[in-house]
Amino acid sequence: MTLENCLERVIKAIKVCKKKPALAIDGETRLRDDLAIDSFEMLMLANELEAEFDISIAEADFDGILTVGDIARRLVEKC
Amino acid sequence: MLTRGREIVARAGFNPYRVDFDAARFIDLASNNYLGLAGRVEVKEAAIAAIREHGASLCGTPVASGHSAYARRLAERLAAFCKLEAALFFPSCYQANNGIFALLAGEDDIIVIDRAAHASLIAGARASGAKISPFVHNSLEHLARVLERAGHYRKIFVVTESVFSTEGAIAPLPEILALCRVHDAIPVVDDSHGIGVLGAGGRGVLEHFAITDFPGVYTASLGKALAGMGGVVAGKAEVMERLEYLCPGLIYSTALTPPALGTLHGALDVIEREFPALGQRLWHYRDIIADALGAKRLGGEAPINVVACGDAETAVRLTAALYRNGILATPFIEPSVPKDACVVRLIAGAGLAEAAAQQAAACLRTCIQACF
Ligand SMILES: Cc1ncc(COP(=O)(O)O)c(C=O)c1O
Repeated sequence: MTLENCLERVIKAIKVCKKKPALAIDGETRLRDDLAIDSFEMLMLANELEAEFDISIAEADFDGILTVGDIARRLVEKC
Repeated sequence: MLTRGREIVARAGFNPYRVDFDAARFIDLASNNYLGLAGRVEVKEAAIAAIREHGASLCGTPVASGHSAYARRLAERLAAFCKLEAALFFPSCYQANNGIFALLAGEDDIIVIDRAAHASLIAGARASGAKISPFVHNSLEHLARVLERAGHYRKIFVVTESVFSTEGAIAPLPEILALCRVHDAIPVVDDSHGIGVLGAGGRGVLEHFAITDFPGVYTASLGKALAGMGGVVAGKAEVMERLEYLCPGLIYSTALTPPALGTLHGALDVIEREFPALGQRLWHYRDIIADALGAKRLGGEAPINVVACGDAETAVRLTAALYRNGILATPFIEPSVPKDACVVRLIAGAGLAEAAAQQAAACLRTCIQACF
């Protein structure tokens, strides 16, 4: 899986969680500061990503993550 | 978070955590005294009568000295009021929500929960060891999607509130129950802001939606419209029996005191007698306040008005301005709401005089104009 493709799928999952298909998101977008994603929403996102990538994600897998791109990089490492 | 909270408080010159509640000097739009029952003579007398007859406290957990025929009769009455088979009292609804999931769910189960559910439901669900899957707030589409993926779990729970109190939205419970039927899931609904408020008789969300055969677990706070203290969990008798014998939050905690029970008794009397009129006034005041908020009002159907403020600072500033004008309101900031969706909540209870509601509306117009 390329990073680019992974990022696209992460962005799609975030839009589902935010219920805002038109949201402007790229790899630099900050999860907390720009998207106001809190820890519970992060859990929702993790579940969406589990379904999207058919993997299992522990909460600790996302420790220290700040941006949308960080998630994509973590997932590329994991998959 | 604490430092940031202190900064906001310092800048606004107002600390919402430290406001002395004084309903005699202020117009109260902050409390959950939806029907004004906390100040009603009949309710206060019922609490006093219960103290006289049963003492100030039973000074024990239910299994020690906290069980009484009085409490049992009242639990039966409350179950019947909600049209459910059986009910159990907890020291608070927080404790109820926090405690029930550990008994109902385990690590082979999944708890699908509205992402805006009350902190006590989230904490309780997390403590159960079950898989937690939040769904997009009030989104049937997302709930269905999550449920479709949940087939391999042993038990599936779907958890929501009836009325989301930081916005006044009512959950689409009939549709949620339909999804539960399809996916063989057990619904859990917290009706803290619906009991004594929704429905033609004030019996809560089940009456509001004419749901007669609720198959799940119902919880509610007794400290809001019912003007007392404590929580209730209700539903099928066999589930209540299991909780009664096994739920740590119940068996290891002092039973509700006689005055709390007496208050509930008095409150149910008033509601059964007067709800049509009290309810009508509550909805009338909701409309008066809603009118004053104009475009700043978040659209919720319940008798709760919410001013959309954006950031925390604006929410605290608006609350401070209202306070200086004699109005008590509640600001909600992170983590109660997302950090960019802070609000000020206003509940104009049926106990207010019409003139007070009108005065509050006029003042809100001015303060909103000044704060935005
Ligand atoms: C939806 C909801 N559930 C539970 C609670 C907690 O209830 P209690 O105050 O009885 O602990 C509250 C608020 O207090 C609430 O708003």
